[in-house]
Amino acid sequence: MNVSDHLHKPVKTLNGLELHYVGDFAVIVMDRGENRLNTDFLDCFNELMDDVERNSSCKGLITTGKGKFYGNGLDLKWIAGLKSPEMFHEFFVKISLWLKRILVFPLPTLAAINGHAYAGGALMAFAHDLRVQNKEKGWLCFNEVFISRQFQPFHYLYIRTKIGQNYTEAIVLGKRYTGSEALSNGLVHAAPSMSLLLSESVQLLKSFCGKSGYPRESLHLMKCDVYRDVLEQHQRDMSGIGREKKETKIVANDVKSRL
Amino acid sequence: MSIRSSLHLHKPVKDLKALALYFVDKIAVIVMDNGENRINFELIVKFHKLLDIVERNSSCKGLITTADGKFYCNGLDLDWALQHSTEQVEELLVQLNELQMRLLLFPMPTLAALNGHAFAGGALFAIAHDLRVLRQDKGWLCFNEVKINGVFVKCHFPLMRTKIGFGHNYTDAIVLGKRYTGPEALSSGLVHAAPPISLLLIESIHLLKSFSGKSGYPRESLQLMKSDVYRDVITQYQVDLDSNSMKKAAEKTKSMSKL
Repeated sequence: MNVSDHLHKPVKTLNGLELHYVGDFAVIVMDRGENRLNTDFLDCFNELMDDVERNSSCKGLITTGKGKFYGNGLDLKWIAGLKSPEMFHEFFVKISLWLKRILVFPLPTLAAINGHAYAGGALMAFAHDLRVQNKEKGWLCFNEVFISRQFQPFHYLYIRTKIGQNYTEAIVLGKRYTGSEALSNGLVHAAPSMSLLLSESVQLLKSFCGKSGYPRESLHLMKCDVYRDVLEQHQRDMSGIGREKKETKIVANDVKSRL
Repeated sequence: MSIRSSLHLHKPVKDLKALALYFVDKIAVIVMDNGENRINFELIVKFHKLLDIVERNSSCKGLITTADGKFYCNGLDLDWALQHSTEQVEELLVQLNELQMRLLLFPMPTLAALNGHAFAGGALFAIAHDLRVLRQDKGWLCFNEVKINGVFVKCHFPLMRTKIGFGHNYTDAIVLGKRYTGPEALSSGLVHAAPPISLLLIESIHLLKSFSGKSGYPRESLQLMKSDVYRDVITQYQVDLDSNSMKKAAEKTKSMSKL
């Protein structure tokens, strides 16, 4: 049973990323296997987000996946094949900007977690305002600690703001959560069965929007205010990435050696 | 059933018409009775007068604020703001923030007994108290600034975050302006109890006393503790006063009032 079984034809498809509309809500369906993050993924995703922003009647954005994965993190194989530290660096800037874009998007955002959301996939889900995870299959997990990866400083800040009390378990100990566990630990807002994932996500988003939805600029500014510490750290991280060129070379070689 | 009728054995110690002060068993009760109890200069001046009387009463062990009717407080007096200059609105915001800080650091435990709606500035006012009780069956607690192009001053964010906690309750309440009934506010940790209206005052007094114990709090100690715990709020408040934060907020409020 796929989430997209309930959707009609996509308005646009770009390399396995589909844009649909359900009423006034945009739904981006990721259909690229493990939905791992690389430059092509980000470029296509950004283009679909541009389309959503340009659609003035759109009132919210849902992102979801097809099959076993919501997102399984960085495309490590692809990263290992990058020819220079500069390309590596460029990719990390791009992914940081993309996460920030979702974080302060001028529409309410909801991650409908259809399957595994690991590492970068979890980071993506937490950049959204709301999370709904199916209770039948898949785990939500920041497993970076198990694979010797660290977060960017700004990641810690927005994850902490979003998770609250169970932050250390999730990040330091890399706990993995089923939908039901994620719900009772405050990581997601609902945990319906797979067949109801999309409809409950739409309902939840509607319940926040109310009749008129959010004035876009107001919502964007409110997010910038609430996540001010995140954005300030993000700025510092961006200039830091420039200074850490030597380190990225080491990390790139390190990643290569792990594969 | 009105709040005042549950105070029927007591005469007000001071009646300023829109605002009255009662003492019930060593607990001060300030009752607002002016329709939506919107915040303007008159309300602020009267509030300070009553708080002065409360502080001067050495046997008083706690403060409850509440109101009669459908509203606890529906926020800033936007009609007034529309008719006055940006400079005057700025002055109102400065004085409002001063009152909020006084409440936040009050040398007695404080409780907002929400008899009805607490929206925007009214919600913020309630959050400045140590404790909150919201009636079970009617009325909402809601920081709806995001939906009406409203704005917070920077010091409000650490205040709201400290009271609500990190986590999705904070982001739902502030970024998405979620509306909470009594039971919802209780399960989200925004209020401490959600009794029926007939028991609102009694349970509020009971709750306050359960914290005070037999001897209550040494006033100076409590005020110093609040100053320590809310250090980041105070620091940001000073910065907000010195910078043009209040002016910016006034400009936004003016443009908001025109909608």
